[in-house]
Amino acid sequence: MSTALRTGHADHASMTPGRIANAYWTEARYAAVRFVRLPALAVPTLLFPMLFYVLVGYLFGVFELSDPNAARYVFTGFATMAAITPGIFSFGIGLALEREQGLFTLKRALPMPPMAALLASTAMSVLAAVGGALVLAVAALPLGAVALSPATLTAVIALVGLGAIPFCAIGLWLGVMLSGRAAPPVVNIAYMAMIYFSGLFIPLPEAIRVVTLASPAFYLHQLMLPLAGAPGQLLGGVFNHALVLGGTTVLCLCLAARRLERAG
Amino acid sequence: MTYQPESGEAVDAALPLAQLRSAHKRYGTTVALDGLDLEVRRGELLAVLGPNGAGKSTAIALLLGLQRPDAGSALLFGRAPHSLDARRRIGVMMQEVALPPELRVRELVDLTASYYPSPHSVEEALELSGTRSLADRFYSRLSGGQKRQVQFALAICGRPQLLFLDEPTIGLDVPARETMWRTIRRLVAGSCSVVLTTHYLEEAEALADRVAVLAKGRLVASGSVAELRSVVARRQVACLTRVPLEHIRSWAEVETAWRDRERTVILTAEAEVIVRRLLGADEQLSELEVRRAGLAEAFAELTQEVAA
Repeated sequence: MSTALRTGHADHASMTPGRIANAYWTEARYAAVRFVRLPALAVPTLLFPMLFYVLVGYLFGVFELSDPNAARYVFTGFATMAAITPGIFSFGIGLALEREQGLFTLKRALPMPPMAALLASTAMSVLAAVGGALVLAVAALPLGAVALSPATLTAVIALVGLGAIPFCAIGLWLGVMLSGRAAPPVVNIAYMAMIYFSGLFIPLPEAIRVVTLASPAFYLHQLMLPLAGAPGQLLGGVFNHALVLGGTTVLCLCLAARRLERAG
Repeated sequence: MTYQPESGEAVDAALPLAQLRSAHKRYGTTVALDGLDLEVRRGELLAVLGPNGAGKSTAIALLLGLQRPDAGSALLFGRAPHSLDARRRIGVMMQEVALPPELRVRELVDLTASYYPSPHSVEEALELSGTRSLADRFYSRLSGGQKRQVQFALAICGRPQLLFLDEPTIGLDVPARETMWRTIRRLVAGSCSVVLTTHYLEEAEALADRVAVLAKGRLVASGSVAELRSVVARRQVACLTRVPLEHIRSWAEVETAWRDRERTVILTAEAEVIVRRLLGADEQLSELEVRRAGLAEAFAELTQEVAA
């Protein structure tokens, strides 16, 4: 005859701080494991900025330019790409798929600590952005394509990590708005449009340059330029650029929360 | 016995673990729940049955805090179902869910167990769910039935006091289904309550202490399997007889009759009358069997009454 199985004790419903910390840590650990085992996300995040940088550098002769500011402009443009990519894709497509396939609903029913999945995915995106920027730097510096001191490079990479957060928020908003079927094409188009209309690699023609103001990536790039020793386009200074990125983050989080509250 | 939730208020052990009170829910013009009252008591296995669109999924979604009622209330352990304190006492197995394909079974159990205050160890959860042999396999490499077993492992790993199982045995082979049934019985014996939604009525018949039948968003019947069966007056008479089927069908007391291989099967509300007629018409009649309608017939009758 089978024996009875003990259920949890009623007074065990509250978690000790250690158990809560373990839940956050376990969530973050498996977010990292999933990222590493998912080449469709890991490869573009870590390698695409470097690969496109090398491609553009050779095709358009950027590496031969004598103006050091031009070289810094292009390098920071691709560093900005490294910051954008993980958040947009992991949240934008990953969350949309999780919602469509029921995993998001299951997570809501389970007693996962509040914010655990959000923080774990954001931390993973920040690490992936830093990883992408490091790979970019490892390719750029030996080529002699750009000259940056270790301190400058460290600051740029730190900004890439921090700058990944607003794009996680944008990805989150896209991920809660889009169906799993619509997300891959829409997110890819939004990503390509954001990169092009930010003038990250080559400044846009004067006639349409104003559209860059609508792109959050433009503001991150503008923050990165003076950090790398190149002049920015002087559109309000560091504070205003940071304010736009912070405002974008808050706005997207609010829109996502509102959508989740209504539609689940 | 009482337990003390985080807020400090005491919750009586006699109170239902989960409860819907006059719950109403609409999706546009469609009424999903129409004043549903439903409760889950401590240590019982409640099977929630109903035809498609009866409101089962909506009722469970309200109890899990995934949706909120338009009117009425939903309570889980005496508090709002979406509260973390309430959710730490439950386990959930949903019907349609795609778990991360790039994680191994052991890792999925480890991750889910981390959400709970005093879970089973990973090895225990694998053992109880019969998934030990799958522990190191990626979720994406499992068959449909194996995925259901893993989802069951995730549902029980937190040592829940209340377990929600939505169509748990779909796609399982017979040994896997028996393992799951055995574990469910052990959980109930250990005072875990279970809410089971299933289309397999024999599953409800085998496991349930109580059955709640929903139709059109309302509770149309609730009771033990025996009680529900007793509300159906019809009985089934089966035998080996030479009386022609067409002749039997002409009898007024016969609702329907058919052949099952050599046996003649008759559905009737007046089994005694039919048995007398059969014996009168065929002295050679053999293997006579009369049985009360099963849960399937009771379910059909109860839900047809509402639909009519």
